[in-house]
This record gives sequence, C-alpha cells and structure tokens, in this order.
Amino acid sequence: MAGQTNLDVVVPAPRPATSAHPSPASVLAAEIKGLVGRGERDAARERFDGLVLLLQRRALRVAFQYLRDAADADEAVQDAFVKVFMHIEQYRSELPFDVWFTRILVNASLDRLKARARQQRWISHSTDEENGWPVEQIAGNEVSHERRLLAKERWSEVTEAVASLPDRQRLVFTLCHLDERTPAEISAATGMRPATVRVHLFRALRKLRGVLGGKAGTDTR
Amino acid sequence: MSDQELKATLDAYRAAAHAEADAHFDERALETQRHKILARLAHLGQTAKVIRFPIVPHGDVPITGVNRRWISVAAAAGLIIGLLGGQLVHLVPQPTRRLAPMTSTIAPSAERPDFVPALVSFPQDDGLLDEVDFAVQVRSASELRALDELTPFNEPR
Repeated sequence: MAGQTNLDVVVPAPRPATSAHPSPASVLAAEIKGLVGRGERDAARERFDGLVLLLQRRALRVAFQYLRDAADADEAVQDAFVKVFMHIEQYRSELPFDVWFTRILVNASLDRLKARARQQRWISHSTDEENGWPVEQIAGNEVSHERRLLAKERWSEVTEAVASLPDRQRLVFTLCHLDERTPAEISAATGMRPATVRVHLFRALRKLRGVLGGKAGTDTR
Repeated sequence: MSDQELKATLDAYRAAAHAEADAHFDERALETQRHKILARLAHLGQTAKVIRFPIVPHGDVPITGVNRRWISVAAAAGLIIGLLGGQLVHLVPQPTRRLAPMTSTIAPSAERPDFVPALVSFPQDDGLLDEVDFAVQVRSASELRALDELTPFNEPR
C-alpha cells in the first residue's frame, strides 16, 4: 500500500489500563490534592516540588518542540505547573495525571503562541538564513552533535515539514511522536475526538512521508 | 518509503529533537525553573500590598470633617460681617475722609458733589488739553497728509 500510512505501525501502542497501575505522577498528584484539601498548603508545595521534578523534563521537550523557542517553552512550562497547583482540587484521581497535565501544558503553549503572534506584529526577528528558525534558537556545538542522529539536510527537511503543518496537525504530531502519547491520550489531552486525532495524525504523516520520500506533501488542511 | 522506514526516521527525529531540547535546558536550568515555579506558588495566596498614599508634608494640617465644617462657618461669618460693614459705612457719618485734603484744593463741579475723578472737569486742564489737541490736529494735517492719502478707507470720503 504505497503512499498510505498504517497508523498502527507508526503511532505508539496503547498502554495498559492506568487505573490499576497509576503512574508515579498520578499518585503524587492525588497526595497533593489531599494536602490542599486539608488546608496544608505548605506541605502540598513541598510535595509539588517532587511532581515538578518528575514531569519537568518531558514538559520542556514538548513545549520546546511545539514553540521552537527556549524562553517561551520555559514560560509555558512554568505557567502549566502553576495552573496545575491552582486547580489541583479539580483533578480526578481516577484518571491519569499525565494526560490532565498534558492538556494544561498544551493550553499554556497555545497561550504563548498567541502572545508571540501579538508581539510579532511589532517586532521583526532576524532569522537564520539556513533553516528559517530565529537565530537565538540555534544552540552551538551541543545541538549539532545531537543532530548527527539525523543527517543535517534530513533534519532541516523534517523540522521544516513539521513546522509547516497546520496547528492541530502539528500539535497531534508533537504529542504522538515526541511525547509518545497514544491517540486516546491525545484525545483526552486536547479535547478532540479520537477519530479526529487519527485524521490529523494521518494527514501529518502523509505530508511528512511526501517530504521525506521526495515528493512534496500539499495537504495543508 | 515504507511504514517501517518512516517509523525509523521518526524515531531518529524524536531522539534528535529530545537532544536538542535537552541541550537548551541543562540541569542548572531545570533547577532554576523549579525555584521560579515554587516562588510563584509561594505568592499565590497573598493579596496585593496596598502602598500608603504619600504623607502630608509637615506644617500642613490635614483637613478633617470637623475642620471642613469650621471653614464653612468662618466663610459664612466673614460674608455676613462684610455685608454689615458695608452698610454701616453708608449709615455712619465719617468726620474725616482720606481724600478730603485733595478735594479742598480742587473745586468740585456743582452737578457732581461726590468724588468721581474721571468725570471732574478742571478749567485749567481743559484749556491745556484743547491746546494739545489743536497742536496735534494741525501737525497731522500738515505733515501726515501724504500718509493719510495712502490709507484706504472703507467708505468713500
């Protein structure tokens, strides 16, 4: 089936039921929720530090890949954690905390994107001529070393192709392939229906396949 | 490109992307971020601090409700006293007036016994003013005639 993408091969496999084996983050979040409910906010803050430690790295990876700016990613992750603490009492302990947190993180990232769009009406950034990303986003030798995992040209092709995806496709792709979320989890995190998630994912992969396989994907829906 | 090749490419892309993000956020950056988050959480429940309005400078008495009433009463009393005083000036005869010595040297006109400087006529002054006026008219007639010819008039003379 040339040109068609079998999502079952490409997307992460569903994880086992999480209610029976809650993740460490879910356990910790339930504990913090209990502390806040009892009015022990200082103790809750101390425990929250552990939760931040647990999720911070993953959150920064997702936010950075989606926003493509270190400062914005930093702010978005901070905002997401603060919102989590503010609304921890609304967290339903029987559901995986990671998904709830991802939803908040996605919203915080979208807020950052909107804020950046407003700023860019007034500020014009100088851009790197090679790949179009803002100059300050290009790290030095550390990144070029890691980029050897992909050939430089291929890296540029993939990043440009991902960046050119429509917002929802890019969000779904980022959560699926960088955060390794299943379509069901993405559906829970974004509020999209599972079928919609799969459609966005299919279109994103079709475009990427076209770019990587030498024929340009033209679907921008 | 087969699905397996695509999956392998995406796996490599994920690894590279994670490495790129990790290069931006080392352990020190993560720790700094944790501190910032905890600092923001510590200030969540606090209400905004209200800064006092600048203190009144020394020497100025703050106006309170009682003071404001006294100011009103004093203003009203001053107004009443002023009105009464003005009436008393006309009713009570004044033996000495400040301008009396001046009026004694100048003969007042019969029609206006009160002191009204602008309307008082003095024979010596009238004569002097008439002479000045005549001199000016004569001078303008002789020396300013050319200029007067050039001056436009709204209505034909």
